[in-house]
Amino acid sequence: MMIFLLLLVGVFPASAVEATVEVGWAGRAVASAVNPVWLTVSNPGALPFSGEIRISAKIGSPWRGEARYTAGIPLFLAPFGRAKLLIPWPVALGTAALAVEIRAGERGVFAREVPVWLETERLRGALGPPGDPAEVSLSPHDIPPDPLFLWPFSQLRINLVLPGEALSVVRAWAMFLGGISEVSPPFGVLLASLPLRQRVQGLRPSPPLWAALVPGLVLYLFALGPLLARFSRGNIGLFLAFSVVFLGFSLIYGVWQEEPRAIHSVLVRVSCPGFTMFNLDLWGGVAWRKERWALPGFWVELLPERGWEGLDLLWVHSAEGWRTEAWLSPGRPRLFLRLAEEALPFPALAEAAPPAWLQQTLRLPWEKARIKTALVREKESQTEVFQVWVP
Amino acid sequence: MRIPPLPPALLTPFHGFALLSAGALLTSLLWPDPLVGRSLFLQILAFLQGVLALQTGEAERGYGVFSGKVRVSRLFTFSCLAVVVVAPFLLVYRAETGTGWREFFFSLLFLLAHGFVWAVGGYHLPAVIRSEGLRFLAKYGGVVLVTVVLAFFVPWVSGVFVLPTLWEGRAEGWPGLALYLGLGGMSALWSWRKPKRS
Repeated sequence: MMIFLLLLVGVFPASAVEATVEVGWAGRAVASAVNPVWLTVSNPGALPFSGEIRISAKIGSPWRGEARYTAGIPLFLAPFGRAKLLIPWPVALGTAALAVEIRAGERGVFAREVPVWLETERLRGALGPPGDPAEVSLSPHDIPPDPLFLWPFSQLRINLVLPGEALSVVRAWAMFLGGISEVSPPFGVLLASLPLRQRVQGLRPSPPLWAALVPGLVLYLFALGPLLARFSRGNIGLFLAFSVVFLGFSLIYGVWQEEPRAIHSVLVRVSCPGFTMFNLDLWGGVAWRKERWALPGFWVELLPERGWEGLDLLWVHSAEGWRTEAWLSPGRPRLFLRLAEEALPFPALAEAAPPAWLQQTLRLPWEKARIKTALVREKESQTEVFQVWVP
Repeated sequence: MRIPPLPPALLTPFHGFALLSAGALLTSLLWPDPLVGRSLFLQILAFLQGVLALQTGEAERGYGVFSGKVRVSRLFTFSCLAVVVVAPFLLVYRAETGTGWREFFFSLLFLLAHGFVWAVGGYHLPAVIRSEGLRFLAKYGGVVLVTVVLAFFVPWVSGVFVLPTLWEGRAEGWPGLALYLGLGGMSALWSWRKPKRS
């Protein structure tokens, strides 16, 4: 009997599934924020369904440059089963629709393009009985597990007592995403990405060896003049020997100077213990070669004003949770943000004064903050780690 | 095979090419914005090579009486020489920009093809445009038009676009490499079969 069932699953691996998709709080998607995508999937068939949900959207415009965001989520549904998924989705300018596809192996079983109507202003919400009709009404059950989902709100009016975990989520949103509510801290962390971008852009493995490079260039040009003249008179041997010697020197210089670590990055973690369980993580990195980058967690890119071409992102969900993957192009810095609960495996951190670029990136009461730093060198990358505690 | 000596008329263009390329290398390495600095040297190099190759072709036109076969090999040799002259700079730049060896060799291949195509163009230009004034305009106007202006509209014909993209290993550079290799091959074949002339 079991074998027969397995055979049935093998022969009919994917019956059609049905799905409904809703983007944004009350169907309103806010630009430059992580919006919730509710996906309800049901399996009307008598066989279990195993496949993958693929969501993708274009961001940007020909003027800004265009990129594609993609998320892949495995899907298992029991016969006549139904699942409701909450997926974080960073909506950026230029996003007009979300393409949702469900595949069973290579075969597509569901595909729909969901239009996205962008709102440029953040929303106002109320937890509890609604007051103003313009407010989006939320119940405590609507408070998501990740504060990033609350990003589309600028204000939340709280008319009830929140349980501990929901309170921590709302506090993290108020602290790190500029939200205003009854539980807002006396100060919030204001983020300006430009100083961090400039800092990351300036991370280069090592400056040129000027002491070797400049004299070498002068000597090369000094000798090249007469040797080319001899070349024009038919004496080629000396020019060839000279070229071979200088090519050798350049090769040695290149091998000496070549940086084995491909990615240079900065990781900043801001914690506010006692206020919220969530930490703000900022990762900025630049690659010296084209490199595949992957970090555990759901990271959102802090996009520059222009130049979005090629800033594609892929989020993959698995049993361990989300993983964010991207390509780093040479010399092109990319900045990411997330709000996370888990501790990071930091090495021994040393007390330090906050560098100027960090103070410009994060506006917070630096006179009260404590900061520790470390330099983590791995085989392929080098990361400057900054841990900031705000009382 | 005997390497032909450099025609004396090409001595100053080659000196100038080496000096300006060295200046471009230093400027790129010192440029405050690393994104600009990563491609600046290559963009200047592609432009300078176009100018040098045109001058090489034009100088060859009035130099000696050779068969098409010999003429092609001379033009190719001088195109190689231009690449050899700047090869130490390219090796330094490869290390400073962290480019892989594969990308480096494709870029060298493109420089060879690019230089050769422009040299063949420079060689045939006097036959098409007799007036020196018009030829001057066509020569430098042509190299500015193709390498600078067309970089915005038909980027894969412009060395200013193709060379940095090949250097970064981006697929957008491949049509440009294929175009110049194809043009180089065709023009070599065409010139090879031409009868002896001055």
